[in-house]
Amino acid sequence: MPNAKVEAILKQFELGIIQTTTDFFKRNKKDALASVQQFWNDSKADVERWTLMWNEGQLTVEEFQFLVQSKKDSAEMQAFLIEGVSQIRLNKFKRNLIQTMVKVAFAVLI
Amino acid sequence: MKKPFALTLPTILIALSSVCFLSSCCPVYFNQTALSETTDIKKATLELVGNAVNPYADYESKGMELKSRMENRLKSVEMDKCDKSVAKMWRLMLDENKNLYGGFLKLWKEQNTLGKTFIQEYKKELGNNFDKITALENEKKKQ
Repeated sequence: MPNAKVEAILKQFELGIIQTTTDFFKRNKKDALASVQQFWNDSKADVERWTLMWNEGQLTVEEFQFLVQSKKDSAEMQAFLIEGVSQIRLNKFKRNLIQTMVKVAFAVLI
Repeated sequence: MKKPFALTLPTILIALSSVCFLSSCCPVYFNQTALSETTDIKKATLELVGNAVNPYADYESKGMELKSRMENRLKSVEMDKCDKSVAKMWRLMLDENKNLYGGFLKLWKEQNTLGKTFIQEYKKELGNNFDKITALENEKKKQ
């Protein structure tokens, strides 16, 4: 295979990898930020409502404290969800990358 | 003129190191049983929480049975070394010193009965956290 063709294929490969990687991280960052923002908005509304309920005597102090503290655990659960989803997407991304590498290797060799 | 090999050698080295890195990829597999069991546990747990207006002693055995189902789920997830996030979620759900299921049982036992408003609000909170586990189980389908 002529050197110029090899270079062209590798260049194409490099650009493809850069694009795929950039898209992958951009998408994940966007999704994670949206998820955290949504969680924060919901949590703020919940805590405000619980405070009102506590002031009105609908919740005991123990119940109110328990609910508010449960938000900390919910935040941790949200973090584990984001971590798990990112891991699954990363695995998929890695597999796609291997497939692309194999394809390019064949294109260079054949 | 550059030799094709000279051009490809660094690429090959990079490719080889990439393959070494990529091979560290730890796959997690979708499991319909895990998803169904999580959905069933959620339903049963929210039903139990709805009964917290009654004395804890009346529902202790039911509470322990559900705890045991969650522990079995955790054990099953822990066997899969790649499924770390779901395991962390179940551990948090069961922790007595936190404010999810384990902590809820502890509060119910301490207070004996809990208020209707609290139960209404807490069911939403706990339900949302179960939904996070099912969301992660569902994400595995998309691989």
